[in-house]
Amino acid sequence: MVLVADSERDLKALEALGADKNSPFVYALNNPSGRSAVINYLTGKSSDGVSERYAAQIITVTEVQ
Amino acid sequence: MSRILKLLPAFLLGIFFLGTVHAQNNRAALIIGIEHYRNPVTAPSLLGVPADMNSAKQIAKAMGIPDKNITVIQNQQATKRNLMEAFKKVSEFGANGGRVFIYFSGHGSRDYDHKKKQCYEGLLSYDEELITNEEIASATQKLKDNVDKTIVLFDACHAGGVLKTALQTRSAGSSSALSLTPKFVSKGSLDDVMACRTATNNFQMRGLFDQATRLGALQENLVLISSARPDEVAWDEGPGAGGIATQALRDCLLGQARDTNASGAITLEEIRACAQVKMDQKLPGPNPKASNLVIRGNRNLIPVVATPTAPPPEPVVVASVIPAKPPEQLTQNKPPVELAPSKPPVTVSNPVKPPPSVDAPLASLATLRDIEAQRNPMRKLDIKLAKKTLKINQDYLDLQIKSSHDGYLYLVLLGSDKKSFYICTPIS
Repeated sequence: MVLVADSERDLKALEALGADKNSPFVYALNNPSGRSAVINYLTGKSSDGVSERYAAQIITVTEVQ
Repeated sequence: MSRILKLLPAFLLGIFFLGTVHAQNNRAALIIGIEHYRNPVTAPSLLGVPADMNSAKQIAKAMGIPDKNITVIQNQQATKRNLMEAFKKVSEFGANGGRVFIYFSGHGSRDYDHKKKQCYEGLLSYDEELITNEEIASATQKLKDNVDKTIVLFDACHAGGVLKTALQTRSAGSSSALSLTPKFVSKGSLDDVMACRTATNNFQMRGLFDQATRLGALQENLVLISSARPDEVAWDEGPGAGGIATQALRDCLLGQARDTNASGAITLEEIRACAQVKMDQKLPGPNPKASNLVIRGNRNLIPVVATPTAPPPEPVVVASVIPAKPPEQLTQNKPPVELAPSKPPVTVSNPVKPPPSVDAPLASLATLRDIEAQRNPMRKLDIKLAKKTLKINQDYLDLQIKSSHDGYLYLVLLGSDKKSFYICTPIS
């Protein structure tokens, strides 16, 4: 998925579970808590007063040996 | 201004930040409740409205709307003139790209124009004037430009031929009598009501949603929740309880709804399904029977977002990774650990009951689709993949992204093993 947001997402949604704001990469397990954290991070309310609009699109690639 | 990014590989991705920061919260609510009308003979009181307004405030707060941004209009304040002003004011809410929640609890109404042979539906103001859906759509027209998402909840109905007097009935499975009042008053005569019921133009085309989209609102950015279908009755349960629909929606939105597809969030459709069950249990029929909740617009909208909670003693689910090493190698040194079932959920939108067992790959796809469903179609992406099929250990993910607007770029990759999400974030 590619997402371009008007405002920066609030990393606190992931920091609470151990994300590091100094790293550009985080990962979340594909379990209920991980899925919830990903959604909260990317769709959650931004800092007060900034636009919450974003564009998003799912793309699919296939891996082969 | 457009930006073109080429990622070779994605790990080299930086950020581009050209956003504008405003100083105020950009979420607002307008809560309208009319318990007593100017003439209680022609428009019976709805004694559950105060409870509805409290419920609406709870819903607004759960949506992240602060008290200072909640406007409440009730009873004699709710004249047609004042309501039209309030609709315009909330539509001109200054902050850019936020959310607006509009709630109404009171009587719905209909009037029939004999010259045009047209039936008009809408809300009944305190001074017993009909505010048509067309007028509401026109007054709120600026919402489509000013805010990201608009959620409208009307607990009122437009059903003709219903009794205006309170009904005494007994709910199945309950030992308590329910005092129910229909939330409808006809502006015209009984003949007018019947004319509306048999009018050739169909009801749905006169609805607020259609009027709003006709004026340019995008269906992805607008949700209209109605407490009943056009030919059904919405009920008020009386003091301390409120509207049957509002009670059910409040309870489900505040935690009783289930994440049926295990995506990780509760959508409005999942809330509707939960609320409908509760309403059907309370009023199983045949008389009175619960109305059917109707959602038009973006039914996959997630209305309640999480508030970051206090960090747990040990970080477990999400962790940072060092880009130079593949995550699979890192997991050997610092394996991510599943949260114990007894630990509290991260989000307030999590259901009380545990989510059903769902195939993880399917659930992860639902997660991405939920995120995609919150997008704003006014923001457009043009993505070109160099290769749609990648050879393992040979090809890089190579893509060009062109965005219609400046912003922050995030990439979310569902791992090949479907066990983890990998997120590339901007660094500020």
